[in-house]
Amino acid sequence: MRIASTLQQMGITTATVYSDVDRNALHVECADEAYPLGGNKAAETYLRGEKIIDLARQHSIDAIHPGYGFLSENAEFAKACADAGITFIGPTPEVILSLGDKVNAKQLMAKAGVPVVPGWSGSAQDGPDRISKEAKKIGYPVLVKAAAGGGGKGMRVAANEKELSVALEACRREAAASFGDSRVFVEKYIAPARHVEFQVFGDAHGNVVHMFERECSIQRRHQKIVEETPSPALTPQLRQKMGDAAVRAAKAVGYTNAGTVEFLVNESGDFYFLEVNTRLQVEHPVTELTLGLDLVALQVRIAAGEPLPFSQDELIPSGHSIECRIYAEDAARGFLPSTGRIREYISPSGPYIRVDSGVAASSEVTVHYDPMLAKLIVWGRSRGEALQRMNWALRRFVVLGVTTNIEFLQAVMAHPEFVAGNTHTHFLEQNRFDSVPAGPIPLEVYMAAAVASEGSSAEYRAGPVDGRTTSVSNDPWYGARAWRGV
Amino acid sequence: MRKVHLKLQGGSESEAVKVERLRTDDARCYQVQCRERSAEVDLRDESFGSGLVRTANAAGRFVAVTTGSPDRKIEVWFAGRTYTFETVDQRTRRAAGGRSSAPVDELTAPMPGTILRIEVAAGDAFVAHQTLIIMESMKMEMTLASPHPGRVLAVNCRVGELVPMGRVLAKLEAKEQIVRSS
Repeated sequence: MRIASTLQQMGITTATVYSDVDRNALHVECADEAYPLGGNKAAETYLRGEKIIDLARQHSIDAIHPGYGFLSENAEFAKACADAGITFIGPTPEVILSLGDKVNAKQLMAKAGVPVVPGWSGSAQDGPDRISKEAKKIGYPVLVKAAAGGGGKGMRVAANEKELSVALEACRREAAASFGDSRVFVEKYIAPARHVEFQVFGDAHGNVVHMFERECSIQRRHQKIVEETPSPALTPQLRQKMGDAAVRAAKAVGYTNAGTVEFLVNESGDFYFLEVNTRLQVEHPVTELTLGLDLVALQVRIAAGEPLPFSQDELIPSGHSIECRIYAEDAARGFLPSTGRIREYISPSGPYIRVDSGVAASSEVTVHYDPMLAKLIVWGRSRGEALQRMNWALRRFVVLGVTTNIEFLQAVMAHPEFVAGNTHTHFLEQNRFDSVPAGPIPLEVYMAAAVASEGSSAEYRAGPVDGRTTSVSNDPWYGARAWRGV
Repeated sequence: MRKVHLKLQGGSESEAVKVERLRTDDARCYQVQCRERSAEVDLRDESFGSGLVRTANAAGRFVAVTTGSPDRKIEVWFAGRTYTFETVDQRTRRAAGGRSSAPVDELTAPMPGTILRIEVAAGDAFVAHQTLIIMESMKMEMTLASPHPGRVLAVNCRVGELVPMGRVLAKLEAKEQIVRSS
């Protein structure tokens, strides 16, 4: 959807594909053309590259933007596109392949003079004994990672030998299920640390720039939920050093198009290369807002062979941007995903507030895909101003029908340590966030509930009604939607 | 005038609210009384609740949703927070009063997903926090562990099965009960 809007603005006709459950999804509604893949599971729909390419051929499609998930980091798919004469909007298959293998990527970076996390990688055949010996050498705690991993999937921490064998098995299984590749490697677990990544862009003419950092330390289950730029932790000197390293990393592999070089930064300001994500990241909007760029448009131009339209010195970020990911999950129950039908969905709007969303009222949140509902992104002249705006917007984001993390995000934004910018990757585990309403329930809430119950009773008597959804009031100054600014 | 009894989901106290529909031209307006406060509530949406609460010293927009299912759950969004209520039927309320709640020893699916592994069989003893079943949902693995030491009475699922949320996956017996029965 976010991609379709840019393409349409550029005057490009967009087509999308969909699974059975998604036939009424927003991404289908927003595209100019849409073709069914048949089936529901990711493995039989959005991960079926050959099916997608067949459809693209049938409908004379020139280029494919792979989005953020599914096939976006799949070298075979990129190669198959190239073979079919379709432009893959992303890096070359060779680059995806060499960086997609985390073990290989680390070796390449070490050679290019980019600092890497101490660790060990062997072959797929290595038994637990061998791996445990190496883990001991590195020193516990260690992180077991899938060689083909990404997006927080296929990662396990082991604090000792006993945990290691469990972690190895689980990691291999998850890696096989998610990536079809069960190879794993082990590295030193660096904590406390911040997750700071640099957006990079390369063109086909050998130019590479970085677009500054994104601080993504607020994570649960190794998955990001809050991202911001600039990072409150980077000094201008460290920013310069890391930016240079990111550009060096991209140049070392002949990187083209959009990519993200991820680093861990420890308390003393040492930084270590983690991995390169060979796609546009979910959190790219914060970079767009501080640089005033449309990264998808830039991706398309570069895929078409155009050179980068600016040099490094011309990129000057302005202000501060924060993104909160709205997930259908229950923070009070270990961030367990919540499924069901969205009964009501009202997103906030106002100056410098952006909502990238894939759902609406009556959308079904299913077990088949990632439970992210929307991204709420704000911009402010300073971090304080951005934070204020985010607080306001989170308090005006209505999602009913499924449990969401909106109130949890409110609590994170209000936490003194977050306000002070003191974040690290274990921030959520080590701090308490009471998302339970503080104090007594306002009487207005009881009143509203009673009226809703009374108002719907008549319909129950008339017959069963399912999936009740609201219709927008025509009067913008009345009712719950007044602040939408219609 | 009707009286609606509301209980916050998972809560114990119920709150009684008196509701009366008023006839007005442009909106469905209700006169509502909760404890000592009375207010006017305008419903803007014909199918359920989305509107305005006006009390003596404050006003606030709300969005309320009923699920349409027989459990009659009501969700209310108000000032950035979401509250989930159950309406309490007076008859069942009295019937349930005084009944001692028997502990249900069941391992249920916390969310829909696929069963990946079953680590125990009927008759097996387990310790507290032991992994019993591993399931996968939204590509994430989830470990279902024992809440206490005990024994497995029955396993009600099989590997590869897609289970809905709340499905009983295994029946368990707590250790205290084993001690007592032997």
